[in-house]
Amino acid sequence: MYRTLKSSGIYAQISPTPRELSVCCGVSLLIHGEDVEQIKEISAERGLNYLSISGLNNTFDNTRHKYG
Amino acid sequence: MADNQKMWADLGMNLEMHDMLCAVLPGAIGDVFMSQENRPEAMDYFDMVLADVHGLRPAELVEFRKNGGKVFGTFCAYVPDEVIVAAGAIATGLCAGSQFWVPGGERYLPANTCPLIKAMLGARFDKTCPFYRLADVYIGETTCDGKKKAYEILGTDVPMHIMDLPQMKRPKDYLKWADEIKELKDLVEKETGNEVTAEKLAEAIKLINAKRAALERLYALRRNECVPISGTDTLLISQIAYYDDPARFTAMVNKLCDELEKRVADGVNVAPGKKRILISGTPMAIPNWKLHNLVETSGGVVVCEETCTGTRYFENQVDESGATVDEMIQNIANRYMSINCACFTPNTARADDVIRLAKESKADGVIDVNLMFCQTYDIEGRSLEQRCKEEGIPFLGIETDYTDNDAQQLKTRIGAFIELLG
Repeated sequence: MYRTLKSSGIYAQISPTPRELSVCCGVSLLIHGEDVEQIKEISAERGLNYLSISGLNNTFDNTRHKYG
Repeated sequence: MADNQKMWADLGMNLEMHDMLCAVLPGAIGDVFMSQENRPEAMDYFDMVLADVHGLRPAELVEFRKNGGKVFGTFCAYVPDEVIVAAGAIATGLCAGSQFWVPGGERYLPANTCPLIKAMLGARFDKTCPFYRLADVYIGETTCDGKKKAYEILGTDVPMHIMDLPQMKRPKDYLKWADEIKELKDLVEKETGNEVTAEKLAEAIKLINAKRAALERLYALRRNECVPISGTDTLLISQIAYYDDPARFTAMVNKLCDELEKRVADGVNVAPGKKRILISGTPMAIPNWKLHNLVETSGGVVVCEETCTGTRYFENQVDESGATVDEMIQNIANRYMSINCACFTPNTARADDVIRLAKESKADGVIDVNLMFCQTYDIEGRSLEQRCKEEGIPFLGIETDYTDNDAQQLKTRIGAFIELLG
């Protein structure tokens, strides 16, 4: 999925699955909201599977300084 | 993703407690890594490893053990992976870089013990790290008093083998370390049932040398005026070096370096106008990204680490000319004894390293970062500061732990230091 999106010129970033979506520390792709429809189309065309596409109101803050 | 939960349960992990770590890590990774701009594309591999840090590699180790393979857990840059690999086994670092594991360790150790050591025990006894569950034997070493005593406690719960690292660098100490490596060879042969032949050991030496060469290449690229990769990203790579498959890791670092070379040629700079900082001091085990994050959000960019998660891990190669197992083991001993850890006396070569690396990296300043209660590195801080002063290199000494409590205070100090660099 990641490679396909990248080769199609669509932004994608490998990232940990946000806590709100899974308790398993899995891998997700971070994508832009405006690309969702195109990503769905490409996935359907090429038979690429995903569990879900979800939007979250999370922001990255590099000055939060919380490291776990 | 459901497989992770099953794997962790099968490994006897404390799922409820581990879940608390899973709750905070994605946010920290987002803040520290995903917030960065203009990252190299080839960081995608390392992002993936990090995103599923307790899933992907542990699953490989589970599979390896199912087929009869043995996994050896290590804690230190002095333990030679070459011997373990030559026996057909896997060496994995047992990382201990989170405050999450510290309270668990404090049940066994005095509170005034270094956080890395406390985290080691917490990760094992709280059953919240799959790597600690997957290592069949732990290989400890005598690099500090705290670790030595902690290994005695770990040894009540898991098979431990201790390598007695000499603390001086006389000719007889090099021979002594070779003897310790021979004992390690005997142990891994016994555990795996595989003989470490000259052919296998030669192959393993080449494999690990290639890994070190890839990291050397990465660090050399950071010396350019245009910094092609952040220190935060490079730290992650150095941390992953301890537990990834060596051949795959080397290929991925070299792929990244190909991209970085192009970036340098194209004048891509991830930190234009930022001050170049060399970090020296104690290791930063995953997920300890605190100092790099603070420096790189305070007007600086880290261009080199003189740490065990930096140059001490990969500088100098094992001489590949040995023909017999004994010759190869002596060559391995010679390479590992060239690491300049504060546990040695005298250890003036470490300060020489810092000065050399600061010059090579064109560092504007040195920040010496030591984990709390790490006495030997703390003591060396003073002489290191003096050497930097003599060389006209601005110096800041910091003592910290894994908590977030001092982050804002450190940010103020680091920000002021960088501002003074002009």
